[in-house]
Amino acid sequence: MNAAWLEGLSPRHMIFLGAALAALLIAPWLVNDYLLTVLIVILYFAYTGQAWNIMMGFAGQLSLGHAIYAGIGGYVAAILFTRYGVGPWLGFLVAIPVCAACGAVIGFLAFRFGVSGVYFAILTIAFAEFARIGFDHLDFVNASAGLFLPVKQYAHNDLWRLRALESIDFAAASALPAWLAGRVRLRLAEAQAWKAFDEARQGHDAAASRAESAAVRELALCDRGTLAPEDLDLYEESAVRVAASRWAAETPPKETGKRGVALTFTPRAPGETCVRAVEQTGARTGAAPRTLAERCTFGVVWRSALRWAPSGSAATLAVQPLPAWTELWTLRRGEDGGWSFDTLTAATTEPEVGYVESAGFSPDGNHLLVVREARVGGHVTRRFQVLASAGLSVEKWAGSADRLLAFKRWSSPAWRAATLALR
Amino acid sequence: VPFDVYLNVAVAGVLTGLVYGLMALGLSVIFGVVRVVNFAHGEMMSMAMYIAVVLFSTLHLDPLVMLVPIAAVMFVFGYALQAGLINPFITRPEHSQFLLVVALAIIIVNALLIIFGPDAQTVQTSYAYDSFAWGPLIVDATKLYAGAAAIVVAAGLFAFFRLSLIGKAIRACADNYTGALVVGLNVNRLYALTFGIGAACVGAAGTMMTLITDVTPALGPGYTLLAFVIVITGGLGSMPGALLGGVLIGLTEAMAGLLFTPSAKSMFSFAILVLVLLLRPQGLLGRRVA
Repeated sequence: MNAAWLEGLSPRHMIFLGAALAALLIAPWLVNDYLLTVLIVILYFAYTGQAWNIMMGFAGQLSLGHAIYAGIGGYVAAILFTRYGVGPWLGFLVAIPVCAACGAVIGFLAFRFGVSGVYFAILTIAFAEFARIGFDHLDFVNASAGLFLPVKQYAHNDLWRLRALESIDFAAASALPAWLAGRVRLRLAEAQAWKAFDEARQGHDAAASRAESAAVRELALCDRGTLAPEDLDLYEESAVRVAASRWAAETPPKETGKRGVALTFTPRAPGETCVRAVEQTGARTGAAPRTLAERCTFGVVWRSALRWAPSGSAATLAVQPLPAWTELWTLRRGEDGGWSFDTLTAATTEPEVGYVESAGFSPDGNHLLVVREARVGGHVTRRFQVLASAGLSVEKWAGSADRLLAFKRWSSPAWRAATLALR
Repeated sequence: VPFDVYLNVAVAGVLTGLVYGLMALGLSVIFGVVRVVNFAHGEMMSMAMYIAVVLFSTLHLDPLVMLVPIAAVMFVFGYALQAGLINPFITRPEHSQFLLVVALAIIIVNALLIIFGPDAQTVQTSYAYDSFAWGPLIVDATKLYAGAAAIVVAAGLFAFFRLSLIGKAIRACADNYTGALVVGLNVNRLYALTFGIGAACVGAAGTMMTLITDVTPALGPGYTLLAFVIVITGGLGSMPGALLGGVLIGLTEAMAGLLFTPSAKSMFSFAILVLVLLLRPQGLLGRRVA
């Protein structure tokens, strides 16, 4: 214990330092995340100060551009991680020599040419400022936007956000202005809709149903008239997000088939669901039912969305691969009598926020009514469309259901009662 | 890009550079004589700029007219600063002087922030958008006036240091501190006078700068560094060197803004500073100090 750096310390100091070291060592198990972050920042600053101390305290050289080395080290580690996937624990093995080399070059130039005192201080500032402005314009490191660590745990973040939003007590917060309360309700609706999807993906149907009911409730409680003008787009988007997972709150129909053809849902790989159209007639004889068509997905298959055309020649089903994005699968019997699945998407560009839902069939099954809503270019667009069952081509469309005679005549009462597209 | 664009940008850069040069002249005078690194130089300039802005917005006094009064106010400020605060630090080590001045700079920036807020303020003179045209050359009136005023003030300063007795005494202090004491010069008073003159220079430069650019409290540190870049490029203690350095840096920044991007222009000034420090530490017009 007689190392050089301990010389000149009184026993009392030694005891104090030892206690401080012990306290720091056990701190991670005792303090909360916030205090731990503060402690880390304190140690980081002390460490940076120590680096400067080597220059001024030991060598007597006033370096005012020490930040350049912290910056270069940070950039090296961040580039290695974001571009090459090398973690910071390995990255710092690269960052240290790079920074040391930079320091050696600057130091060599300065001392080789006899720059000292104030001139040295200003030289260090010049190098640091040169580097700062240079990095600000270097596209390789994203210029002034900077490099961000990629977020991997989206689900964790969204749950955290939901918990924060749920802690808002609307009754107590009567001081909350109406426009702000509306915005909070919209965010809450979005978060609940996300949760409904997440729970359904994990097979928690009851929890998914509760979350989606909450989402629909929050959306209904948000009075569009009190919203701030800039939040009207947000309202539309929230409605689409809620509508995308609205099937979580509905109960699946009892019969999954019609006129001898039924749909079965079977799991395959973890998280994968296979939808099969099978012949029902063969079941009684004991033979394996003949599979007419099959399609598998890793998205959530909403069985409650299954709708058969009255004629039995087509069916529709909602499949949600992402939060806030729901597609419509159609099962159709072709001219040759074979069955096939097809997918209708909400939009061909920007597959982020949108849904397609079926509003009903014409009695002969030749026409299919669908609603497509999606956020395109920052705005939500809504289209009510009449499709030909044969080729799924759009025969007529309008921005409002009232403008289409087909919707007045053929849209199903269940759809009119539950859809969010008529909001 | 046609040639006359380069010409116009270059002339504008040279005129702005003259004002930069006058600002740097103040720093050069202070460092050359008092040997204190005035790290509050840019902050003193933003002080002068705010005085000019307030006089214009309340009393509609043209900055060009207020050039001499504002310089006088800054002279008093600089004199009092040196006599009251910095003189006791003259014999202390360099870094404690440095910390004192940096503390002063931080106080000035934040006082300006408290009084005027963070928003940019500007002087809108009646001739703000005037320009003169000579053939393909188009020159902003404000820049021309500011550049001309910078030359006049600098010439007056040269004359003062060359011809007047006090100017000679100050140069004597700069040449030999002990010798000046021996022949009976009141060195502390001369130091205060010198700091005052340096502050007056930066006051005049700041007043003219309001014609060219907006003023915010955050300008200070940037101008401090700029002044250092200019003075070291031109040669510490050399008065023509400061003006030359100012013109060179003004020209460099203008051309860099044109050829690359305006936000990266100071990178080129720092590159020049690094090159000068490494290859010719005494500056372009400075004398080698043993």
